[in-house]
Amino acid sequence: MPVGTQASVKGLTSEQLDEINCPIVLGNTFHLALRPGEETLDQLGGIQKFMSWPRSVLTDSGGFQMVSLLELSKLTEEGVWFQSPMDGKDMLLSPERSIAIQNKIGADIIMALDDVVSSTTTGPRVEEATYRTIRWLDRCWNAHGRKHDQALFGIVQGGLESKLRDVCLEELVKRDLPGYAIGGLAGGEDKKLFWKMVNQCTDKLPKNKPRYCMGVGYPVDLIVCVAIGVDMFDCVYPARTARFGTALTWDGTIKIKSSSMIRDYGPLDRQCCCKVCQQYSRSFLHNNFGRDETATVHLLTYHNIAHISQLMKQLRESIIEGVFPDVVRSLILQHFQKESIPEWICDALAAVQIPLKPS
Amino acid sequence: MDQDTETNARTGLFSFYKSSYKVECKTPHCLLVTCRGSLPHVTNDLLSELPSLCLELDTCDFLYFNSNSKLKGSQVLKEFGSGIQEYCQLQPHPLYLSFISQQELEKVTYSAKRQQLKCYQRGSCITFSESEYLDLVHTADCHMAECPCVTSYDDCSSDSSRTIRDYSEQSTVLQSNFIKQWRFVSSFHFHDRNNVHDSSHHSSFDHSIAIGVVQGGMDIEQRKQHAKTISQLTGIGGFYIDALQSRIKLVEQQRLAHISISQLPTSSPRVMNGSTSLEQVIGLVACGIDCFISSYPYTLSIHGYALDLPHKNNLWNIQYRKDKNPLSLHCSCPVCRQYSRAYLNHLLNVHEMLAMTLLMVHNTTQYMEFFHQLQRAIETKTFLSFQKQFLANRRVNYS
Repeated sequence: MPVGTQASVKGLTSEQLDEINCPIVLGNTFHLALRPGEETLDQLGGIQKFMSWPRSVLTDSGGFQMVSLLELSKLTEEGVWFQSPMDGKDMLLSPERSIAIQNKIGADIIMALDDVVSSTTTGPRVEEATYRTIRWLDRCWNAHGRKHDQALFGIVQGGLESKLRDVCLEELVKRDLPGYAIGGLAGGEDKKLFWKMVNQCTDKLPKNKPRYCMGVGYPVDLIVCVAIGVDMFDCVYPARTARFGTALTWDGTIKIKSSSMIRDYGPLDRQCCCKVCQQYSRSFLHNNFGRDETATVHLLTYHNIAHISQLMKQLRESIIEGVFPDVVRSLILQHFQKESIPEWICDALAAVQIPLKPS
Repeated sequence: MDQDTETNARTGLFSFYKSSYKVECKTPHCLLVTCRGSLPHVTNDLLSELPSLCLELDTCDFLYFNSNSKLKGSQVLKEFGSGIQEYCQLQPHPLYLSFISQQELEKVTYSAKRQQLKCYQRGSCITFSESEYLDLVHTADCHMAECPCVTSYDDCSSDSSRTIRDYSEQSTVLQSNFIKQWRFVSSFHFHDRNNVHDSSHHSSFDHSIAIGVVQGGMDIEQRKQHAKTISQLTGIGGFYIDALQSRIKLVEQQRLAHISISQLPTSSPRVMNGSTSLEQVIGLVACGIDCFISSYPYTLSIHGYALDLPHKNNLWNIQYRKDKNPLSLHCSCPVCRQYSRAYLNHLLNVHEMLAMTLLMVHNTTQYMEFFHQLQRAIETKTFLSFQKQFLANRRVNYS
């Protein structure tokens, strides 16, 4: 899922997103509630109509902004008090409020409000957050007014403590929700702990419900997480890195601003079948890239999202064809041609019977 | 060509042949200013519904491809193996290579002793020789290319007639040398093309049109003289009337255009800058100008305006917050087919890049529609009443 924080995926039109075969985009409840406001969105026929997007939308709960805008917020059992960045007024984001807003925004999948702590936090705060997340989930479910057409996903919290994760998993599974998210990760924690937590969650979550790992990630992270049983992801990375001039390729990343691009007349990625790679040379993209002009940023964003989309498609097809382990192995090896494969990737894949080196 | 009976306005047809395809553009027409090879903030796929859109490319953007002035654009294009249209992926749009930069140009000077041109722009200076420019024109292979000249935009109105004469004379020499070289290259390539082994080479250079630059400052006699001299050079296919861009009043611009045009052959296209306003364009069309180099849609877009002919609406305005209407009810562009004013108002408010992209596509489409209206008015011999009505409608909007 590419991220369209404010009802727009950075610089791309909905037609372009459709061309890339993006099935769903993510919107941020917190930002959308500030501007244009959920009332406006409701009056204009919901977010899909507003952004002229024919496919699906998922909205987060606004909980993540607790971490990212911590200094502006105060946490109570009732909810989170924010100081509005618009007018400085205090506003409360409670589980009920979050769901009411998301009901109005009108996405297909909505998220329960969770008590998010940074993934590097330890101690009693994590425990408090885990239990509060469960209590808030029940309040969210009770407040949910569109159960028939909006799927509410619960979020597994518990930091990096496997006991707490187990508690949270057990409580959430009991409630038999439409889908489950793995939260509180991808925030700069050690990758060795990250994959173990994800693995623990996927082991215990029901097999017939979608699993969504929040805030992941880099292409290799996606490959590993798919291997350990995750179905959905969201990340700003492909679009954000494009704005800094980085293109994703099957052989790793390239920097379009590098002077080695000036006389390189090949496409960004020879294996890529996106429109940008069919048409534009690296040389042109290098010369067109600049502060005052965003056409190349759009082209790189288009390519990067198309790249991720092709990667996921390839993984899906390989599962159906029964060649998933081989495809994972070759993708990882191709990605790490110039550097050694990080240990956590070898460990994670070994845990799901995809050894990278023949034993 | 169709000439209006009440004014000097005229309409005609440009046919551009390039390898296997042909693009036709009716005049009056616009040549939209690009930035380093793309319409600002717009990827070419979004322009697919505007095939007859003409684009202006800036010499300064392509002379050198790196900051230390060592790698020539012409060399990159040679290595790339095809013209600038393919390099920038701007097919099928006809391209106009302008020598006089449309982007904050201060002046262009020439030193005969060193045979060097210096182009001062945005506080920096690019130095190059005449042959380097010729190389660029040759490898870029645009549909139209301006001849090199000198010019100055530092407070032109106060230039003495002596200074203007010096400038004009230098420009004449530069243009006359350039056009001789151009013809040499063209005929050289004509022979090249007959060589079976080299059939992949640029084959259409001799289809490019050389645009002479007509100057003369504010001085009537010098303007007449310069226009006459340039129009007598063999091989010039059109004229750019350098009338000091937007820094003088519209009435004064029209006067200068009249003077220059009086000396130019009627059969050749005349080009001028038309970035200021729709009023400016209408006034100059009435003088007999055919093509307008313009960044008007860009200027509108960066200020949040959407054209709704004959008016323009500022979408920052809070009145559009819940407006479900398209940007213009009479526009069929992809933006109007899909998005509402409310969405654009939101995108502007949250500073999303998509706002500029969508506004550019819409404003470009509406701007082209404005030129279609001009063409139709001239064809149906109703230009003068169209002009009066248009200007009256515009005034209503502001009162």
